[in-house]
Amino acid sequence: MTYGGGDAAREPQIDPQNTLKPRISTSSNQYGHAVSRISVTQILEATGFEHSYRWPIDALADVLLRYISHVGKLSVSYANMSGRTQCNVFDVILALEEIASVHGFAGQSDPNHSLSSSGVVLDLWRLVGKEREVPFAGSITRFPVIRSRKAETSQDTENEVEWGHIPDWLPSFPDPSTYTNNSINNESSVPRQQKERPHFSFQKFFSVNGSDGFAPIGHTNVERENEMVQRNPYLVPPLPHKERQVSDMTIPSERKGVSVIETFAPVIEASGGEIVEERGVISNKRPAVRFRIGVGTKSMSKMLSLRDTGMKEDLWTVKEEEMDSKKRRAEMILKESMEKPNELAQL
Amino acid sequence: MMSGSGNSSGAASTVGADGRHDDDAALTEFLSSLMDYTPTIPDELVEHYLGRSGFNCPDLRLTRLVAVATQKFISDIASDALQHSKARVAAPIKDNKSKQPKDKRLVLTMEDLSKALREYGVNLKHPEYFADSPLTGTDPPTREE
Repeated sequence: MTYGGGDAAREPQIDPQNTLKPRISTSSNQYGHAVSRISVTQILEATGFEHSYRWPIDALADVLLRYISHVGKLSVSYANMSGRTQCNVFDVILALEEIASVHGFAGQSDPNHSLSSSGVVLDLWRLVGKEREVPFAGSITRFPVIRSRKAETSQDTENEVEWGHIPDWLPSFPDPSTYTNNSINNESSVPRQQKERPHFSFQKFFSVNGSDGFAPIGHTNVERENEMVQRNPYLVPPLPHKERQVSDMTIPSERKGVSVIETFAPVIEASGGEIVEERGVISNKRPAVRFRIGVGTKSMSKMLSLRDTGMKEDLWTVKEEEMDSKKRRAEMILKESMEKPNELAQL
Repeated sequence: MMSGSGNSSGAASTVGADGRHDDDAALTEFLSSLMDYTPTIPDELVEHYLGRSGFNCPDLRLTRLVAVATQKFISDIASDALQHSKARVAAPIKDNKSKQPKDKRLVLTMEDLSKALREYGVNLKHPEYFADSPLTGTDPPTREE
């Protein structure tokens, strides 16, 4: 049976690097897929096909594997429903009947039909008796092949000394020459290949870095470790106290009074007003700041300013008299600037 | 040997015991005959994929039963596809006689296979061409030039 690639509509193209290989099989079932492809080819040949393209064979191989998995899953579910974990022949027959129910088989309509003589079984018997045997081409081993593992040495097998505090099932200690920095030991030690290679050489690291901290990176050489430590700012060890001179924070001294007019001076200057500071009368207390609390009347703000400053009535009247036009304008600007955030809040 | 099967389904009370006994004997005989027949699908492959689905049975006869069932399934699909292929070959040629006559070879194509699989509930769609070269999808005569 010839085996060609490509589609029926165009001529099969030569693919020397096999880039047109179909990707139906995943890496996990490549072997099973290849074996089933051989079986499918043999079945097709027995049916009467002389030639085929690559894609239909791969598709049929995939269908074959899916069918086997489907039968297995259904059989297991029937066994579990009967309270068993191991499948028996009747579970398999029920599974086959369920799959064949799509197409139909003899005796399907009878709900009490015996499983032993179900139409599915009869069909299979006919196939076994009638068709000539086509055994699988070649022989395959039982798969998947489990690689034999190297036995790990444990405490009870390796060490001569029995530690009371170390359980037996833990792995044995490495060769002492691998972690001691003894020159005598190094000369007479076992060759490096036979020793267990440590993932991270503590002695090398500490000899280079001193005791400046430890970066648990893993099995790399010391230069790369140092580089990584320097690159990552979070792994850099903290600086000792007073190593780096940091300027002291200048805490602003408590001022005697905060003038709102002073803080808004640039705004007022831009508007072109002159500010006359009058601090001679009251030095310790802050000037009145008029708040607008959404009422819209001036009387409320006046009441608040009275309460905040705690000024006496006679002083307030004095201030009222002393207010000249320029100061009034400055305070108007202040009010506007306070109104604007309120407007924004209302938006 | 299968005469008891019809009776057992109809009148289960009187000949039920005998019928069932015959059925079981027949089934046992069938399973033992499976050991003589080597299916095209190898046992190791079937065992592996059954094991992946959770099927746990040390009995080799059941594995053979599944293998034979799978072989029958695939051969049914193949025979349906063969019917479609033969129907295509036997169809009268609509094009001019100048073109080469229709190929008498029986080739399994994706079209025949997808038609055959549709009856079994498997939907198989295959793209007609892959646009990996500028000439893909063009008529054969223009490509030959």
